[in-house]
Amino acid sequence: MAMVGAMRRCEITGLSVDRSAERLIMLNAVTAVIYLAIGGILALLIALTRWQTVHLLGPQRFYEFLSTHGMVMLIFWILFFEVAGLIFASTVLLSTRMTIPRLGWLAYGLMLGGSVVATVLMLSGRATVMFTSYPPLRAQTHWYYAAVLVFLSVRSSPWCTSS
Amino acid sequence: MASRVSALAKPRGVWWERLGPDERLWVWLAVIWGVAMFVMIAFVWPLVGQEQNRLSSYRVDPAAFAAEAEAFIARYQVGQLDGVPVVAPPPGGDVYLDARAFAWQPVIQLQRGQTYRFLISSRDVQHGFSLVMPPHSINVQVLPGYVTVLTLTPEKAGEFPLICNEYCGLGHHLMIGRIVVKE
Repeated sequence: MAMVGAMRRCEITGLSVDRSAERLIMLNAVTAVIYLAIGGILALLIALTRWQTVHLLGPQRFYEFLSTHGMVMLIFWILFFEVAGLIFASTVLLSTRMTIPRLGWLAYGLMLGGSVVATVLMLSGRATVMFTSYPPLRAQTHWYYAAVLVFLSVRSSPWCTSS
Repeated sequence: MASRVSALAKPRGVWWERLGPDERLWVWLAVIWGVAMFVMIAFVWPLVGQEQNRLSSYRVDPAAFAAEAEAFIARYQVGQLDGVPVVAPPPGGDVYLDARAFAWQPVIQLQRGQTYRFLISSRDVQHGFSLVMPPHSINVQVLPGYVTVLTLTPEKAGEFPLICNEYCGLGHHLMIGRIVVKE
């Protein structure tokens, strides 16, 4: 092995934990939960709009928030948590090291960048197409690049742990 | 090192033992129920049930469909309602329904007990045809470039709202059409 990262032994399970894997797991999981919180707040505002006596938001804001809520709750929160679980299962549970931690960081960076760009575009009304985004309904072209970036980086995440 | 787990180490535990009798019973119940539901959905309900509308669809040039719909409206128009033409097609005839962001055109006036053939298409983006007309409850996709064909026999007189159930833009919630059924 060319790269030997710092390892620690878990006192409870006796498993060997790669430090760089641990940091990536925590980072992905925390990002996931932050997205879950954003989606939850949007859900509350959407519900307060659908409740006719309150009717909080106008149509423009409502569809912006609904698009963002769908994307955040069905794609971003789930995928970030999935990557955390994936790195955990393929390193810690097997007591192995990450082969290419840098690829894990790169994948996280691309995923975060893509998801933030997509979220900003949806919240600013440039991609109110719902997370389904059925063509020929169109969002701004950058939104599609951002989504593809997220999916590609999720797909590349397993390579940083495979040995 | 006693509790070390690794892909290379021999697994410890009892996971390879035979399932208990209760667990086996549940597995078999789940399998039988799954097969039963598959048979009901795939073979029983389409034959004995009244639930399914046999849909068909064909490709069309959106401009050609728009022209046919305009001709249909011009030929059978009987009035106007909030700026939308009201059309009374001949009993048993074809009905053209033209969807666009954010309106259904025209308002359709039908006779109770007559069977009509609906030809539905969109001019711009995907829409959803959602009609609750007891005992019918119909949901179909409406796509640009395709005509969705369905048959409908109104069995109750009254006025029925036609709702778009596929997000089509910022005015999606305003896209409500009308079907009027006369005695």
